[in-house]
Amino acid sequence: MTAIAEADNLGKRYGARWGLKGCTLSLPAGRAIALVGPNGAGKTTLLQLMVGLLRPTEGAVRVCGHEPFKQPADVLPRVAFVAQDQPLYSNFTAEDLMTLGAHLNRRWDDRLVRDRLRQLRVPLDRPVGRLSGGQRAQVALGLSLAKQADIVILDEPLASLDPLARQEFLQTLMEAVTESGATLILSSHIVDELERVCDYLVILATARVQLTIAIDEALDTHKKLTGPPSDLLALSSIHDVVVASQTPRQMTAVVKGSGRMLDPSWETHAMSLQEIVLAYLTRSRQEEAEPAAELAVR
Amino acid sequence: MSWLIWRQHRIELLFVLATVCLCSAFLAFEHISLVGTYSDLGLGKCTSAASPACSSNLQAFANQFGWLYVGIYWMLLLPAMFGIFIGAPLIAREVESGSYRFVWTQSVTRTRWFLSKVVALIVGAILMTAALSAVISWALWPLTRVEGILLLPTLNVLTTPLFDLTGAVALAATALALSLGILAGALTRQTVLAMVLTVIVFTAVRIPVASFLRPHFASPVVTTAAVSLNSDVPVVPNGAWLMKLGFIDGEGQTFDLIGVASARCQPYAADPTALQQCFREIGLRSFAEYQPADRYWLFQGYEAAIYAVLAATALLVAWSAVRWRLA
Repeated sequence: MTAIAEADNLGKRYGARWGLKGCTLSLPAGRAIALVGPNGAGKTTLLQLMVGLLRPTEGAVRVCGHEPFKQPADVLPRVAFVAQDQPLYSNFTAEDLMTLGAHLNRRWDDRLVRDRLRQLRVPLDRPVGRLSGGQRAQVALGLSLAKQADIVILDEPLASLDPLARQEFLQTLMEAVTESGATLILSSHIVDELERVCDYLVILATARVQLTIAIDEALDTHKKLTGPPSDLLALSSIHDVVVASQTPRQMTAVVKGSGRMLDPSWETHAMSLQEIVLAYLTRSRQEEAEPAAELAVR
Repeated sequence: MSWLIWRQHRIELLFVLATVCLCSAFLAFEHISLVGTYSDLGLGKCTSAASPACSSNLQAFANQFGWLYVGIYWMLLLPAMFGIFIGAPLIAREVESGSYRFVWTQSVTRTRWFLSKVVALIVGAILMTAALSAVISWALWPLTRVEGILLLPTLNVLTTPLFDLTGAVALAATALALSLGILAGALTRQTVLAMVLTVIVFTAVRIPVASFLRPHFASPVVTTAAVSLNSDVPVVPNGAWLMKLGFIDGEGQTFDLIGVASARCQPYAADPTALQQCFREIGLRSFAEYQPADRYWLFQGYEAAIYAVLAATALLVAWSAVRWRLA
C-alpha cells in the first residue's frame, strides 16, 4: 500500500483546547476514504491540516510527500479541497469561479466542470450565493474536480444537503471518483450511504483516530455477539472486544477478528457500517467518561 | 492572480475613478475662472505686495478664491477611503465569509496571494492619488502663487492641505492608509472593526506628524529687521511658511506685541525721533521665523519616508498574521 497522506503524532491546539491530538495514520492512495466521527471530533481540523490551512501544533502531516503548511507550493497543486459549507465568493457566478480556477491553477480541465454543471442544469450565469445548497455543492465539487488533483478532499459535503440533493450528490461524486482515479477523502458525521462511494474508513472521535481500515474488511471482521451474561475478561481473551454491554439477562459485545464463536449459546450477527462506527464511538465516549467516573467514586 | 484582483476590485476601481474624475472636473472648472481673473488683474507681473496696485489686486484675488482651500481640504479623505473600503476588508472579509479556505487552497500559495493583492492595490491607489494630486497642483497654481506672495498659510506648499495632497507625501500617505487597513483587517478579522481602527490609527499618525513633526524637519530661518515707524516686518521670501513673527530686544527676550516690547520707550511716544532712538538703544528689532518654500522636497522626503516605513512595517506584520496567525 502506498500512502498518499501520513500523519505522525499530529496535534492541533486552539488556545487551551486540542482540536486534534496524537493522530497517527496512513491513508492509501487511490481509495475513496470516509473520515467519520461526531461533530467536534477533529475531522475538519485534520483536513485543514492536510491542505495547509492550519499549522500543526505538534507532530507532522505529509501529503504527497510534503508538509502542506511548510511547503504549500508543492502540496496545493496536487490537492483539491472543498471546505465545510462550500465557501465560494457568493457574488461570483459559476462562470466567474471557473475562470478563477483556470487562472489560479496550473492544471485545469474547464470542459469537465462545464459539462458536469450543464448536465446538472446548474445556471452558470447566476451568482452562486443565489443558488440552492445542492447546486452550490455541485459547483464546489465541479471546481475541485477540474483541478485534476491527486487528492480530492471534501469536508462535510453532505451536511447542508437535503436527502434528495444528497442522493444526487453522492451519485455524481461516485461517477467522478471512478473516472478520475484520484484519492478521495470525504468527512461526514452521517455514515448512512457512505458505503456507496467509499471503500476505506477512518473513525475519528474525541480528537483521536479510533480505526483505520478498508470498508470490506471492516464489514468482514466486525461481529456482534449476544449470549448469556458472562465474564468480559474471558471474552476479551479470545476476541478483540470493541465494546460490550451487559444486562442481567444477556451480554452484547462487538468484537473484531475472524475467529468464530464456538459456544452454541452465543449468537453471531453481521454488522452494518453504521453499527460498526457507532460501536467505536461508544467506546471512545466510555473511555472519555471513565476517568471522571473513577474520580466520582473516590 | 491579476484576473481575480480585477474581478474582486473592479467596482472599487470604478468608484475611485469616478471620484477622481469628479474632483478633477471641479478643479478644472475652478481653474478656468482662476486663470481668467489672474490675467484680468495682471497678477503675472506682481512679484511682491509692495506696490499698492499689486497689493490690492492680490488681496482681492485671494479673497475671491481663498475658499478653494476648503474645497480641496476634504480631498485629504481620499487616502483614508482607500484604507477603509479597500484595505480593511481585504483579509477581514475573506475570513468573515470563509472564502479564504477556498482561495488559499487553489494552487497559488497564500503568500503569493497576499503579495499580488497588496502590490496591485497599492500601485493602483498610488496611481489614482498621483493623478488627483497632479490635477490639484495644476489647477490651483495661480492661487498658490498669490497666497505665496501674500504669505498666507492656507494654500502654502508646506502646510496642510496642499503639502499633504501633493508630491511624495500624498503617495506615501495613500500607501500607509491601505497598509493600516490591511493590517487592521488581518488582526481583527472583522471588517467593521477594522474599518474603524483604520480611521483612528491613520488619523492618530497623520495629524501629529503634520502638526508636531513637520515644523521641526529643519530649523527655521530667522531674519530680523530694525523697527522703524513705517515698517516693522522683516522681508520674508515668497511662498515661505511663516511660523512666527515677533520682536526681540538686545537681551534676546522675545515679544509678540510691539506695545509690550517697547514699554520702556513709552515716555518718548510723542517724539518719533526720540522713540526711534530709544528703540535703537534697547536693541529692539522685529524678527520672522519661517521655512523657505524651496525646502518642499526636503520636507516631502522626510514625511514620505516616515509614512513609507510605517506602511512597510504594517504590511510585514499583516503578512505574518496571514501566514502564521490565521493557521
